[in-house]
Amino acid sequence: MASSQPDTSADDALEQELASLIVEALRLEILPGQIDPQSALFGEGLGLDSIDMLEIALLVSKRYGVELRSENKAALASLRALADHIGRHRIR
Amino acid sequence: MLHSLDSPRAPAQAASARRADAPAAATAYPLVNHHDLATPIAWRRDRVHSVEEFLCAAQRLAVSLPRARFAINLCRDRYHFAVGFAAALLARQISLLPTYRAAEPLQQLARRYPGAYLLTDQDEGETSIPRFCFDGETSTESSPAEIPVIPADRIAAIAFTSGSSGFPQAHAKSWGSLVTGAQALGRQFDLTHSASRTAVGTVPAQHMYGLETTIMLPLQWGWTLHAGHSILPADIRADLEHLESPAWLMTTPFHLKALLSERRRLSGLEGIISATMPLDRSVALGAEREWHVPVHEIYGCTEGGMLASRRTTAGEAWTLCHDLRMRHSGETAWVMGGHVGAWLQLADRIKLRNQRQFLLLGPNQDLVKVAGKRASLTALNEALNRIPGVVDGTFYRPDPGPAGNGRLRAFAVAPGLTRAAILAELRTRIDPVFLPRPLYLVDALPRNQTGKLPHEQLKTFALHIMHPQRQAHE
Repeated sequence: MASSQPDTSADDALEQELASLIVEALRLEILPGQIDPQSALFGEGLGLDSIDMLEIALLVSKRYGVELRSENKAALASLRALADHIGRHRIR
Repeated sequence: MLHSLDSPRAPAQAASARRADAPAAATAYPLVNHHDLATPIAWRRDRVHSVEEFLCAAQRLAVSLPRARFAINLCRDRYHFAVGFAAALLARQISLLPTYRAAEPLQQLARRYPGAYLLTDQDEGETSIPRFCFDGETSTESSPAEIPVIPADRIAAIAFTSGSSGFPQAHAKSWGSLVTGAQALGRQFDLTHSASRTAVGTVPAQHMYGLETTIMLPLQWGWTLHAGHSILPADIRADLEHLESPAWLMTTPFHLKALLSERRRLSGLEGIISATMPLDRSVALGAEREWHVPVHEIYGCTEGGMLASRRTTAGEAWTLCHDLRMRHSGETAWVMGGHVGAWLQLADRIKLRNQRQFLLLGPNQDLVKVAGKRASLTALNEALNRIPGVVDGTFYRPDPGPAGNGRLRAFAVAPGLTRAAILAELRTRIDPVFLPRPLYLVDALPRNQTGKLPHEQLKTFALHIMHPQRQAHE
């Protein structure tokens, strides 16, 4: 995963909303507030796998109209990066 | 493309000049079976790799690999994987194909295969296993004189399944079995007269199904392999838009369902193959209507590779591969012949309709499958119950629903332990795809007087716990 984090923090509300959506959709064993917004979502950090990545992509596409591409690793690096990406590209 | 439709070639004409329809008798097979050296063998968005480039890259890499018997091929880029796989084959090294990347299981693998090193195309994080990193690129300054021919009995790869002990079980694949498996695959889908196509995959090359359909099929049928590993719908759409030859998508029910849910046009698609778990007929119907391409399914396993196929919309029955035989007795079924070899016991219950067709009745009670990986429920339950502080516990496989992703649930009686503590322990004992989502802490499991946990009782119990507001009559 890319090491560069966005400089500006995304809208906090969006970040929290996204955390809740992810925890609920993936039935994760944590509370939304327990996701470290800056740690890796996939692999070593939160430990999500490629099935989760697909579910997150579908969720983000339906809810915000933003299409995620796996080559856009920076957008998938962390909760904050994802919220930031959605904040910039959302159409709903 | 260089192939013309009116010049069909038999796949992988064996070096011993035997007919390709008697592959088992051949003693050696060429590495690739393309029309000529200038033919494309791999494709990625920015460039095409010719057969000549591929052979140069593989031969160059073969002489620079560390001296060892085993190479753990972790390359994510499919072209890099193929170059690494071919180089290992040429250097008489065996490619180990784990389906995991976590440090600890890899260390275990390296201990089991002394001298094994990681063959990678990117940074795989901290590990004490020696690694050989390469980028797969090469110039064609030295042209390969000819297409290498590999003895059929050379062990090319070792694939792994989760063993019932929790320790991965190894399954050795000879070059001959991989080539005859690719031949069987082509025959099953009537590819004999087909012009070159591109294989696009959503499954990793390290998975047996991915190896067969996205590496061996292209190598042996003169196809082009798409180097990427596309998972997300937007990735797949973008890949297809850029391809020069018609594509076949090698995917899974899970990926296909996601792709279909977007209801978007796909360009250049000619066929879809799905495997790893049975595909819902409604998804197959939807895909065929949406994109006007046939949806085929493969039934197979890591031990035997592809065993049978079906056109999902045409009916439930599976057609066994041409040169395989199947029999069953009670709950147990076996298959033999062709690329499978001696009788192999299957993990599913089947019902034979005739010599060539059968119905799949579902997995044996003990088998669970998540993300194309298999595990034994007994072994998972043992792992859970061995955790200090867990008094009783069981994994539970919910019935697959339209929204289900196949993840397991688990119930544990563990006074004094937190869910986080149990999960942290489990993570060190089982493959993370099998981690329960969620894990429920309960007071007791609905065991009967003999201490057994009957399936129906567990199901009622599970529905009650999972949906306390609903009546458990699903």
